[in-house]
Amino acid sequence: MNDDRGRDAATPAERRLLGYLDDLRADRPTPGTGLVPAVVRSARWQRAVRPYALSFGRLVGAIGTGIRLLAGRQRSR
Amino acid sequence: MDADQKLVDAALAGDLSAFERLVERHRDVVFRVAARIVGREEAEDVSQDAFLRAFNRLSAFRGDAPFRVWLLTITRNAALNHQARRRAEPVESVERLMGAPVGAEGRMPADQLEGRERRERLEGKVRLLSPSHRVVLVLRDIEGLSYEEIADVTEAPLGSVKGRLHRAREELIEILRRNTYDWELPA
Repeated sequence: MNDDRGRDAATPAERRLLGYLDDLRADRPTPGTGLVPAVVRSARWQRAVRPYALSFGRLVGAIGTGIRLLAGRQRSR
Repeated sequence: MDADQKLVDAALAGDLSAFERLVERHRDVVFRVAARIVGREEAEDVSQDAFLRAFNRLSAFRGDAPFRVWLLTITRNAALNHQARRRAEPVESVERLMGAPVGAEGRMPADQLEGRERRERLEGKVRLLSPSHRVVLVLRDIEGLSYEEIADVTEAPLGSVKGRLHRAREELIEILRRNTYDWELPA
C-alpha cells in the first residue's frame, strides 16, 4: 500500500478532512481470535459436502430436464 | 511466484492448512475494510463470508492482480450485499451517528475516551456515505490503496475512481459541516 494521499487533496477542506481521517487510519481494529478457526471449520465442512451438493444439483437438474421434455412431448401430441 | 500464489496453489491441491495461512495473512485488512463499510459489530460475519466466498472461488484467482486485491474485491461485494440485505438501522443507531453523545463504558482516561468517541463519531459519519463513495474513500483515504488497486477492487475505470473519491470527500465534508463539533475538532 502506498501513501500519497496528501498529493491528491485538492482543497484546504480536503486536506483538513484527510487530517481527521488520519485518526481512523491510525486506529486499526482487529478481528477476534475466533475468526480464523471459524473460517477453517466452515471451509472444511463445505469441502466435505461439496461433492454431494454438486451431485444433488446435477440430479435435480436432470430430473427438471426430464420433466420438461415429457411435458413438451405431451403438449405436442 | 509470490507467497500468496504458492498458498493458493497448495490450497487448490487440497491443503486446507495453506488456506488457513492465507486467512491469517489477510484477516486484518479484510476485517478492517469490512468494519469501515458495515460497522465493527458486523465486520466479523462479513469477513467470514468473504473468506468462504474466496475459498469456494479460489480456482478463479488468476494472479493478474495481487491476491489481496482479489480478496478485497470479494470483501467489498460481501459487505455491500450484507448491507443491502440488512433491515433498516435501528433509530437509536441513527441518532448516535448524527451526533448524540456516546456512552462511555468503564473507566478510561479522559483523553483516551475523547479520542475513542471522536473516532466512533467519524466512523459513523463515514457509514452515512453512499455505498460506492464509502468504499472508495475507505480504500483510498483510510487503507491507503493506490488508484489502480481501487480500480481493480471496485471493477471500475480509473477515471471513475478518482471522480468518486472527489465526490465522496465532498459528501463527507458536507456531513461533517452539519455539526460544528465534528468539523472544528480539537487538534
